[in-house]
Formats: sequence, C-alpha cells, structure tokens
Amino acid sequence: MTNLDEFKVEELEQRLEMAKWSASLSGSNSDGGTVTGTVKVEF
Amino acid sequence: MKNLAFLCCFLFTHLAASQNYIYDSQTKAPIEAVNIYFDNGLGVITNEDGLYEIPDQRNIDSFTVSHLSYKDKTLALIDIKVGDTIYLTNSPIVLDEIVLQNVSPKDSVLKAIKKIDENYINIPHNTFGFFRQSLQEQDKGVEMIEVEFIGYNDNKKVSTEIISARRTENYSKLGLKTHGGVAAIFNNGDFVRNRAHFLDIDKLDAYAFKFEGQITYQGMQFYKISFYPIVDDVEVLRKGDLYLDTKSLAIAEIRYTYDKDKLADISKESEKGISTKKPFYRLKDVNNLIRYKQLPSGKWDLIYIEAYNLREGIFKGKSYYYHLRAKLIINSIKTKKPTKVRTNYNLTKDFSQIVKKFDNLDRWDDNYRLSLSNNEKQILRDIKSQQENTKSN
Repeated sequence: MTNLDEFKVEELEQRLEMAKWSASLSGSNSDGGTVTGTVKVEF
Repeated sequence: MKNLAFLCCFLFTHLAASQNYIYDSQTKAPIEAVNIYFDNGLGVITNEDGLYEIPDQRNIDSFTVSHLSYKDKTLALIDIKVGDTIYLTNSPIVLDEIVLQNVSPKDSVLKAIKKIDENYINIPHNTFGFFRQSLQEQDKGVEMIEVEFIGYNDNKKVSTEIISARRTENYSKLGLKTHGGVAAIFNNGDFVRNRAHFLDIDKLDAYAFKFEGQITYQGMQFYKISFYPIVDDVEVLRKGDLYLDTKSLAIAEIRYTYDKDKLADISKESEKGISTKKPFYRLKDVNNLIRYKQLPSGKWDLIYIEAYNLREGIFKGKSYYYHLRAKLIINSIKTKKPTKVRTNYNLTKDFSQIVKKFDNLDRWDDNYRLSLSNNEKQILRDIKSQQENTKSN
C-alpha cells in the first residue's frame, strides 16, 4: 500500500518563507461598504 | 550532442510539471477526485476533467492513483509521458459478504464514531494544502479565490497560515460575497473530527443506515453504508454514503447531499424575511465530498474536501442562480517536529475582502497542487471579459 508520506522539512520551511504570488493578504480588512450579501459554504 | 538532445528531451518529458488524465476504462469518461500519491510524499487530485499534474520534482520515481470506486494502480514515472491517459477499472461492490456477516450498519457507524480518537492522527501536525473557491452567477464566472496554506492541527483546533493568496474582482450583479475561507472549510467540513450531524452519537437515531455493499480499496475492505434522515426535523436533512474500513472502522469518505423537500421547507419559512431593499438568498442544492487518508503510521487524516452549493438570489422580482464551489486539498502532512503556525487573517471578516486582488488575469497561472478544470478556466475567462468591459466603459 502506498501512503501519503512524511513531508520534506526543507520544503516546508522554504514555503513558509516565500510568497509566490504577487497578491497576498490585505492589511486593511475593510468591508468596503459594498457587501449586500454574504454567504458561506454550507456543509 | 545527439545524446544531450535525447537527455534534454527525456528530462522535459519526465520531469517538467506535466498534465495527464485519468479516465474510466469502460465509459471513457474522465474521473474526478482521484488521489495521486507520489513516492516523495506529495499528493494531488484529478479535477472534473480527470486532469492532474505531475509536479516538476526530480525525487519522484513512482505514484499510485486511488479512488474508492476503482482499482488502484501504481505506475513508474518513467512510463508516463506528457498528456498520457491512465484508464481505471471499476472496483466491484459485493453485498453477499455483509449479509452473511449479519453486521448492523448503525452499530458499525456507532463503533466508528467511538473509535475516531483511536483511528485519526492524535498528535500535533502540519498540513500543507491548496484551496480554491469559485462563484458563478447564472453560469457566468464572477469570482475566484485561491490560497496556498500551512495548517497546524494541535488536535483541539486548526490554525491556518496563508502563504500566498489571490482573488479576482467580484462581478456579482447582486454583490454576493463569500464569507469564510480556508479555516472555515477546515472547521466546518471535517465531519469526522467534529462528529457532525450523522456522526453525532446523540443524533444517530434521526437517521437510517443501510449497507450498500463491500469494496476493496488500497488493499483493504470497506463497507459502503448509505444514510438518510427519518425524522421530520428540517434541520436533519443530510443524506448520502459513508465508507468505513471493515477492520478499524475508520471513516475513509463521506459523500452527501441535502434532502430537497426539506430545503424547500426551510426556504419557504425564510421567505417571511424577504426585504425589498436587500437581495434574498436561498439554498437550492448542496453536494459535498469529504475524504480521509491513511498515513504510514496507520492513523487517518483529512485529505480532501469538495463542496458545491447552489443558491438562488432574489432581488426586485428577478432571480439569479449562484454556483459556489470550494475545493481544499491537503498535498502533504508532516507529523515529525511540526511547525506551529498561527492563522494570519481575521476569521470574522469576509474572506474575499481580506485576500488581495490579482488584476493581471493573464498571469493567473495553473497550479499543479489543484489543476484548474475547463469550467474553472472558463470562469477566469468570464471574469476577464467583465474586467475588460468595465475598463472600456
């Protein structure tokens, strides 16, 4: 049986360090005043 | 020189991130949600086109493709060329053995719940994954969010640190935003750890359980048990299938939908609150998949969640249909010396407002961790077209 194996530590730490995309999290967290409806994923 | 050319060709064919497919051998149709486990510890999954990508990593020699309804296959990477299709054959479901064993499906589920602490990882660990959420309004793409994250699960709660995230502009005509995000998916979608709904011992009597058969998966035997609500309570509305390892009774997979009649009752009740000033949303359909994976230690852990919600938005007498899809894959798990991470965003805010916009959609590249499906590529094209329309106006 093949299993999902342990993750390589080096890659883990590298990924913690770097953000690959130019977009990331916003610092402002503004709600923008344009939200007329919010929904969440239903489980 | 000839040898060098051959070597370059070889490296490109076998080592570059390559797109490949998995199809059903009989129907020749693509198979969605097939897990692909590489021998270096990484895992990916096929999308609805049966597409998966082999990452550009030189430490992969072989991989196993695995799906509960099909026979596993292990292949050497050297035998796979870019664009190759792997065909899987159905795994037969056998009912006779269960009938002979005279096992009660409800008792099996009860025992499975009692064994959750024993069967699932109970030590702190990291998870590394990818999350995509897309929204279509009237079949037209209006928003996409992608997140790459590291999770830290200390067995009490899951923290998620987002490494990178991006979203498109939201072009929903009603301004519909999606609340929550990757942490919410973890917290709400891990039914086994949450002992949610039909896995809540106190609520088991509200459901009927029925053996559908026994199947062989990854060399183990699994019970397929269907469940459905048997009480009038409209909140008890989930129905679907559970897959249990016959030996440990670990729950490997859950697939369920909502009872449509009860959903209709709920939305009828909520219509009393309809306002003429704000859009009114009602849920029309839910179809979710939650999958767990056994690790080398023998313990199980969450590996994949796929959620589909159909909503109707009503505003000023007009109806809009919203298809919300969320996919969360755990590509790898680390149990040795896990790194503590903290959730680096405000969980109470609208997730789409927290993730920064990524306007250059031409540069929205595919990611092997969760390959974009044709439908998702179309969503991006729809959004780009609306972006261009907005700019030209």
